[in-house]
Amino acid sequence: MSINLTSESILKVNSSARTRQESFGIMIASRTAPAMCLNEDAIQIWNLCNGKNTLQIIIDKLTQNFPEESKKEAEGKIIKVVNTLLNFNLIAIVN
Amino acid sequence: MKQEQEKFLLQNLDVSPVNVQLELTEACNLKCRFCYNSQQPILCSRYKNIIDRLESEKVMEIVLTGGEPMLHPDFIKIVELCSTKFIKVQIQTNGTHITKEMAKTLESFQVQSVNVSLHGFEETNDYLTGVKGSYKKALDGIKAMLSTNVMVVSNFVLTSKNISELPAHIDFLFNIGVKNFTLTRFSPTGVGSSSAFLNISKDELLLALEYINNKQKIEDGISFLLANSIPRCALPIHLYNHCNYCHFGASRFYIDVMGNVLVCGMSRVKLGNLLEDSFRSIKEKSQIYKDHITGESFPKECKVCSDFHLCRGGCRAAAISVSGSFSGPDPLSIHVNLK
Repeated sequence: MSINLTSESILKVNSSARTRQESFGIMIASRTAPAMCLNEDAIQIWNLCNGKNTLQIIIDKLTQNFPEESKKEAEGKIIKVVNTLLNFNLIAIVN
Repeated sequence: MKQEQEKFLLQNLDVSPVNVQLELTEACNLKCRFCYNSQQPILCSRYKNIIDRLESEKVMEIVLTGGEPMLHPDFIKIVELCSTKFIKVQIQTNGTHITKEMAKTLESFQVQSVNVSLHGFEETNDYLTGVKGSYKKALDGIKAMLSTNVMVVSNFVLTSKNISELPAHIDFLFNIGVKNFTLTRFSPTGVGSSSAFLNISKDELLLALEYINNKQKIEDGISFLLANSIPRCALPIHLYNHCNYCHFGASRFYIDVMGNVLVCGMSRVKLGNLLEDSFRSIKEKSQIYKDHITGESFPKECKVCSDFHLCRGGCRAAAISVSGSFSGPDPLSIHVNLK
């Protein structure tokens, strides 16, 4: 987890980020970030960064139907995606 | 065509380019001996139509280039227009027209980056550009850009005349605040086709790559981007980090002054015309595009190589410059001497 990111961090897509719909998912970019592709799983994370959800809420929503033994692995992957989006300033922590 | 190739082609047909280089003019106030362009006074007159088309095709990033793009009489107007239509506006320039006022103007239009070419210290640079005083003007341009919040990049074309200066030149620019560099491997195309003596050897290139790796280890925040891909078979294992395939002709394209869609500016291989057709239609009609995407138009030794997906045979412009064929081997490839 990055220095500032905690389970209580509220995440929001930056207004400068733009998206483009593709058959494989979406492509996102901003003035400072390279264009990158999000698959269907990453799009769910992206869509939940709405300025209201905390990281914990996002993790809970996306892993609720996962078997218990897979939850930890899925959580790790979600945090990795969130950190990447944070590093490129595509999303921000708003609290 | 194999089913897998066909599927890959169909996926690519539907994806609009991410990044497009738009050539505003072929004219230039410099006479660089290695230039891939014609340096003739041909302007892009229908830029509005081209930019509108690129916007409607949802292109995300535009690179204004030339020739020298700032010689276009509507240059500022074009930058302003692009800044309203694309996420990123980047400029490739020789820097000699960047005054403090120009730098502030580019900043005001939120240009993302300005890439100024500088190819060594004064004597070497001015020899390569063919114009005395160009070093000083370009350096002043870089300094003007450094006083803004626009990302400053400097491009260095690797030639036999300047490669020995690379480390000291990078050190100098880094110390005045330039953190981002592009290195372009010279390929004798365009005006440069009569300057084959500027070619560097493979050993010289590898030394340059060694230097980059070492520099990145000791300097925090410095970044290098190679403008041309290098065949993986040309690299020793410890330099594999420089192996990447070229995105031109797939997610990136070059639009010349007439609206022609080229694979890239250096190869000048034409796929169609954006003023007549959409990208989808151009790609669908172009056999060159299809063969490029599916991997058909590569040397047979590359096509069967297990590393093909990593380098896709290296630079196609370099291949053309040596073999005359888009499907020839990159001169750095170990296959170049095979018959």
